[in-house]
Amino acid sequence: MVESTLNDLRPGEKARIIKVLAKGTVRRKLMDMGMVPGSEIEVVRTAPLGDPIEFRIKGYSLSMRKQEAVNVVVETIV
Amino acid sequence: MADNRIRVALTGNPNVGKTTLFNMITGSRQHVGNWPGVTVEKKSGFKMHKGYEIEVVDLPGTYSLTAYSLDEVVARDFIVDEKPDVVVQIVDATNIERNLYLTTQLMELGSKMIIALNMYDLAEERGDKLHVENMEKILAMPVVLTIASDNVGISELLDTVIAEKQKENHHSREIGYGDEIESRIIEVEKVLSQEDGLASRYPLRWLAVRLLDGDENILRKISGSSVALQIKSILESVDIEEYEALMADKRYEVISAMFPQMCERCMTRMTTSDMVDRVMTNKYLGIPIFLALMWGAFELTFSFANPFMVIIEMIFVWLGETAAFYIRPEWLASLIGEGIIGGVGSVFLFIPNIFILFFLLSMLEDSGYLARAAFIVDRVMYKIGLQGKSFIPMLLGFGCNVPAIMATRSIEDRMDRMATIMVVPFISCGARLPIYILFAGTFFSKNAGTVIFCIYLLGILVAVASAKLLRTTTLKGHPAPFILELPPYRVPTLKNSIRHMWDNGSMYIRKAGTIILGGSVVIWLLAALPWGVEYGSEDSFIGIVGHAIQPLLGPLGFDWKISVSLLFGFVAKEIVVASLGVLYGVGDDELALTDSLLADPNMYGITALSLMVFSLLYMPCIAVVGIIKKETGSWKWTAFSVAYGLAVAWLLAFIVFQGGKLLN
Amino acid sequence: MEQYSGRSKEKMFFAFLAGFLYLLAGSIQFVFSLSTVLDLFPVNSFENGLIGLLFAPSDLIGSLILVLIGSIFLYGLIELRNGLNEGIAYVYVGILISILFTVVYVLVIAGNWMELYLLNDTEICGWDILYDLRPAIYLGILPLCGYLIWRKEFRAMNK
Repeated sequence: MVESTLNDLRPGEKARIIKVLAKGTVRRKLMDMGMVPGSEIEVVRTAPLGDPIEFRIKGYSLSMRKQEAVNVVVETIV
Repeated sequence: MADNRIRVALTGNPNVGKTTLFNMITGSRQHVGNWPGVTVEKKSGFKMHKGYEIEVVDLPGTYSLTAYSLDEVVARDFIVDEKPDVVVQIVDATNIERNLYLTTQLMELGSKMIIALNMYDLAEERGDKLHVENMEKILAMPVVLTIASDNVGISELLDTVIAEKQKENHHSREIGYGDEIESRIIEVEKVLSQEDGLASRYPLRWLAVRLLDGDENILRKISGSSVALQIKSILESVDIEEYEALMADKRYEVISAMFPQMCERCMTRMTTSDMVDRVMTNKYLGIPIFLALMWGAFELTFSFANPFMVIIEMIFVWLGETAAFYIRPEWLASLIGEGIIGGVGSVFLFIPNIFILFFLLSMLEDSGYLARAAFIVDRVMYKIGLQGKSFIPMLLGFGCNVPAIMATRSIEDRMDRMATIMVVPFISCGARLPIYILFAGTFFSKNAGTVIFCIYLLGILVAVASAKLLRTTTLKGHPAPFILELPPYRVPTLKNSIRHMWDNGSMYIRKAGTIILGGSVVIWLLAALPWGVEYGSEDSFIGIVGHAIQPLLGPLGFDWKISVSLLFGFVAKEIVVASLGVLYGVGDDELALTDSLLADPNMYGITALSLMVFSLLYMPCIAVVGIIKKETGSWKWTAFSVAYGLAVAWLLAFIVFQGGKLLN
Repeated sequence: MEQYSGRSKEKMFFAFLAGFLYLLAGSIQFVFSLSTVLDLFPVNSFENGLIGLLFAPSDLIGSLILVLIGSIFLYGLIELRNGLNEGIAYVYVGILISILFTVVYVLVIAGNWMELYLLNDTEICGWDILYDLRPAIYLGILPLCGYLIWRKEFRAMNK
């Protein structure tokens, strides 16, 4: 188990959310979309131009820029 | 308030058919204004139903009530402060699970609620099994099946509204947030109840939940009350951030427990969707596929629309000639034939374009590809200071800038939105196309298609450069975060696309119609006055104004005729061609206009190119200015948009014309 | 599994054939379109010949779309050859996109035809269907066959 941030994961890797560091509206929005501690999240792919990244969480596909993904601390699940 | 009056609030996620339902209920009895103090549009209307006068208020479409966007604050403040008798949430039957997130938050507001399960036919067509009775039981509120666009279920919905209003009390279902948080909620509630002013105005449990959820808006609301300090100390003793997360999690948990009982086979089918996405967002193929699809949509919008435009044109030419033949005196025949019928004709001429465009856009959206498009282009859009969501309004801009600017409402961040609104007018709308067709067709016949495509490309480039410029000057800063759901791919249904096409197409006629018609009459008047001059000649007002502004436009290669027609392009761009027809004395006959242009010694390829560039970039039309004023809520920004457009247009046309002259 | 790999072989052949034809047609059309645009040869030299007839020499973007479709098929072929079953997705999407563009071009033809019929203009009466015939249309027969053969699999995708 390695702690890292969401933007460091590679496509196909799965992780569990430990903490959302973002504040204010961004944090709220992430929560509303299901990014809560304990949730499992999977990196699906990056966009053709390398950013944003597509994640799968709670059965939805969600896209996020790397700079937002930095704010989500996760532990990888092997 | 009299007993036979009922106030209903309509809520729901964006794009669930809320506006359509609202229009169906209230018909023409609508009032459109703004919410006090903000630029969010407020629409309300009345309907008499079975002896009751029902007032319907259309709240802004939102996904949630927690993220503090202006729309969300407006929506929940209305429900909490104004206490409508019944709240109706319109739920998209094809996407129930996502919609339920809002439901869980609405339930806490303590109002009587009804779910209108809209577009249920589409869900059933797809093979979903909806269990309405289970849904009613689980949510503890009535559920009515509706198809807003076909007027199905509206009357039942109103019956249900009346029945709900008459119920003495209602048992609203509440979400349990788990022992720890619940005990805190009770604690906060107890403190809040000491202040009578709060208890009479707000549902206390909701206040408590919002406070523990770290809602600063609500904190501000209670800050003046006697219990503010006590509340503050409670909140300081808990980890708000953790609570925030736990509560969001709980809502999701509740939804995933409820949902399977409400709908069978409605589960998202991710695996297939994922396979498709492998291709559509492929590292190498994703962008070419995106460009190809956009080009295909474009080709259909413009090539396939042509014959329909020909039909419409033929009808109006015939009408105009008939009018001219039968009506006396001659000036009246001219006013009706050329001014009014011609004007109405130029409104209707673009219906095929706009209808096909909205049909295709709806296909793209319903298939789920539009969200991928935002995903694919976000990097680029972000680089130029916009975001993936700005792409959709800009794409709409190719049809008509008016709905495009309206579509920027989906961009939550005000700065992002402002930047997008400012650059949309550079996107070449359908109304500018007749100018390109005429001039590219006349002077670049063999490569007309390529020339027109390049003009469109130039519009995009100018929009990009402008966005970049704005972001480093007046709208300094980075775009807001981009957190977007990518819905699973679906086969779009013909029915839904046709609905969408109809809704937006008819909106275009209503919004743009009167202005274009008015503009045509103004043109006719200016061309026919002062009394006694030959219609549209140099001595008419049109000619005088044209001569007056010609020196300004001379360096771009424009003579007085073009100056005049550009001046009237302010009213609507398609009038440029019509007024050139008038000025060359050929009327609506495009072939004759082509011949006259070729015969004009002042007109050659470079002039045509310069003219196309200028037409592309200067102020789109009065309707767009009106909508910019409405959406930005500021005359300053509106004036800036117009002035900036003119400056850019002049500069680039100057470069094209003078550069072209040097090269030749 | 046996049956699956057999099917996959079928698709690999299909992907190869469609990919090859689209890429070939696209490349030829691209070269001629480019030379027409850049005026490398007298314009009329292809207009009347077989090439003009088959490839509509002034359709640069059309040629790029053909190349793209060909690439999608071939990309799928490569993935399938490397043992990645997901490569089939490329074949499916390739079929859908190529049919989509066949429809686009057919509609454009229908539009042109309707317009001429309506105008009934003696000047342009020389138009015949060959003038608008694009490789995307006749090549579209191949993916259409593919769609019909694997119809059931496409339906399964929607359910």
